[in-house]
Amino acid sequence: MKKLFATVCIILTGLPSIAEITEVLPTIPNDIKIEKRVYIAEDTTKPGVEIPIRILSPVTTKNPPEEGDFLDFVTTKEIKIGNKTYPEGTIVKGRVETVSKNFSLGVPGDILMANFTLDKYPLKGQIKKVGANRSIWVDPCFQIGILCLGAGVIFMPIRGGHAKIKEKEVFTVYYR
Amino acid sequence: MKKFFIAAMLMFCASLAPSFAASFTTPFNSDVIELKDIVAMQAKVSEVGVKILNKNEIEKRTIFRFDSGKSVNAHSSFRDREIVIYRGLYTLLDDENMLAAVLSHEISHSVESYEGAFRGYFTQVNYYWAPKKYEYMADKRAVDYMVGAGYNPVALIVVMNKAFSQTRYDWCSSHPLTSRRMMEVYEYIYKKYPQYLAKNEYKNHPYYVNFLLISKENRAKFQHKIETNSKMPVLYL
Repeated sequence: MKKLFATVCIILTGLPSIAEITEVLPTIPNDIKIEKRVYIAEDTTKPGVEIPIRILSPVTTKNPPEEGDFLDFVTTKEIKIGNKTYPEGTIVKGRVETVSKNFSLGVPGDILMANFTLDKYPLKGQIKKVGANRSIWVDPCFQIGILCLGAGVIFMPIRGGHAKIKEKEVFTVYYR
Repeated sequence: MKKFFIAAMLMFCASLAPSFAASFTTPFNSDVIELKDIVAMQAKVSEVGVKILNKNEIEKRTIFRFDSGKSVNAHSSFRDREIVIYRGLYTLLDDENMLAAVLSHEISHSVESYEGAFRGYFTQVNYYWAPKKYEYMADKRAVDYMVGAGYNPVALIVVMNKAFSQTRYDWCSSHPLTSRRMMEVYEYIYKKYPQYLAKNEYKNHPYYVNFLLISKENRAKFQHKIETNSKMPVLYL
């Protein structure tokens, strides 16, 4: 009887903590819907309309943007899509997909941008920039240095380069 | 001098062969498996894997292999660009979304293996010295790949909570704490694909409910970040 009473007490004290599990859900615009895509073989080799773009203000992993942020690019020449013509300097939005900082022992930082849109048209292509990969020489120096009375530790603080997207760099994305 | 040089070279080469396991090698007891079952599971792994590659237009070649071994594991080989999923892990997956989650994570490693000097040879060195950075990245790219292929990315949180162990600390581990990984994925989905959380098909899945239970503190930190509009990364527990 005592055991039964103890069990009931434990269950009752445990219940409120389970009931407390709440999740603050994100608010989403009404026009976003979850679409289950149906898999069909697609010809992805078709050439599309080439759209050369450059970033409006430079980005670096030293002061990185947040993942999910949208950054502005501009077209560097006039683009024709169907009957519509977009002049040079038209804004193209690109989303920051992943950002990671540089690390010691020469590991570089990197930034990946994709999901470009031009006037609501989704564009294909991505931009991946990786900083200077110094581990190519830091790693052998570290390994060999460790064998020489641990002298390799002096190479440990050497960090890899920051990834940068410069204003003058022109990238190509595609519309198809 | 020769011996010293050889020893140095051997150490260097050994450092370039790390294992990029997605999870851990917990023993898994099960009976003998029939060939037709192996064939069926291999077909499913290949189908889902290739679907992710094609739908995301990944231009790097990768193959998928099912291994009937018992370990609760999946890994991506940098040298061969081969993704192996073991039966121990496969049997823990409830649906195709979860299989896609595991494969997407490994595909992300595989794609990374192509980048850099000497056809990606030196990317291995980066993985060796900063594995956690690349694990977080692979998790996030996995979310993108899953959404790109029409899968529900919340399954990645569910499969992590179900199959990946939780070490005390991650100082000496190649993988971050699973609780941190789950929160990073949660934050990533919350920011980029909020629709999957707002209309969450895994809302009542026991392992998702369990994730909500164990991540109360971490989610409170995240909510504080959202409310204060902070750009600082949160150190999850």
